[in-house]
Amino acid sequence: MITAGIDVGSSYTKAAVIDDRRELLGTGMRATGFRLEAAAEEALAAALNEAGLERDELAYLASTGNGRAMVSFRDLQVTDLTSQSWGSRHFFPDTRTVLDVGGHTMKAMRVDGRGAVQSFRLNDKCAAGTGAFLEKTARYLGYRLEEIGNMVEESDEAVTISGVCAVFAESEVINHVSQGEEPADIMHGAMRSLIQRSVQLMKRVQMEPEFTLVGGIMRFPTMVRVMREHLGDSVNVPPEDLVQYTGSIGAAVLARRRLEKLEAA
Amino acid sequence: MTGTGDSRADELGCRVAGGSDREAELADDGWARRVVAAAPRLDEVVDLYAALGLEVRVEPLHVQGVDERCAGCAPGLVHCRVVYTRPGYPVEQGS
Repeated sequence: MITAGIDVGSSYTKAAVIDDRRELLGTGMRATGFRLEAAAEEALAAALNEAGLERDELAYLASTGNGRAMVSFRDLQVTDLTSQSWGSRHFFPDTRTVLDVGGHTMKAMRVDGRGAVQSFRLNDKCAAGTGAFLEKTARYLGYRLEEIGNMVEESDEAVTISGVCAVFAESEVINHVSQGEEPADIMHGAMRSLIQRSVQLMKRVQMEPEFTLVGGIMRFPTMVRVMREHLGDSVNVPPEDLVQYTGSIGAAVLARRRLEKLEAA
Repeated sequence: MTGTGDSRADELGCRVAGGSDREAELADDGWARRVVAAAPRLDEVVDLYAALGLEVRVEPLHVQGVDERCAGCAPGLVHCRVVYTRPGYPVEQGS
């Protein structure tokens, strides 16, 4: 039996398809935009296509993310806290703290050994601690988000950027540019600023190892390296682009569990 | 910016509100201040806390006392609300 999860996020919608043994068969991603259900349909179609499957081979589907209720063809919906917990534990079963940095939201949560969420916090008010902040900084420097991973690897030393306020941070970036600082060092500083905020958020849920980092910007090696400077070696990151799919994978796993319960009943 | 002595806000972002009489009243009733957010993210926040089995309460954000350097953000803060929670009832997670 094949199950799928769709994570309708604020920036991107991701889908994952798994089999009976919870092996990942395919993934798909589309920009969420304003037509949430269409994005969900397209992401799922891409995941099924990658898996070499037809839609009617899908036995059960769970939606998650802040747009999960807009997926009318779902069988089940779960919050993104639950799906991220299960997705993180799918890769790293000893996960106790999850940090999820999304396009507009940063969430930290502490989970128990069964994946139940014990505590969670998310960023206050503004976007200084989210992917949107890095994207905006990159754009100001004349780079695209996908370019900043390699760019920051060339940084010799991060410049200091305030982690306190997105508006002030933007002014600081402008000042650094006018003072002739290297874009790589400025971007490196923006990443460190974001990480400082992340660590503060994790402290507020009484973080415990192992730590699992998820969300698109965690695919940048510098992000992970600096997180390890703060948190030590117990930092897990799902492989390659799968950092973006943990929510949808978690939802697919939960769909699988629900299906097993229905079959057993 | 106006400091409020709210260490949580100092850690996580700009320092708005906190310390009002209303805040103290809510604290006496067991409500803990969680986050400041505006729609549509506000709905997401309320939904997530409720999913954890917490009782959720949404209150207006008092923006008086915002430092002039934060004037750029102040109009946006009008749309923000403060989310409070207190222990509710246990709910299923992932079953």
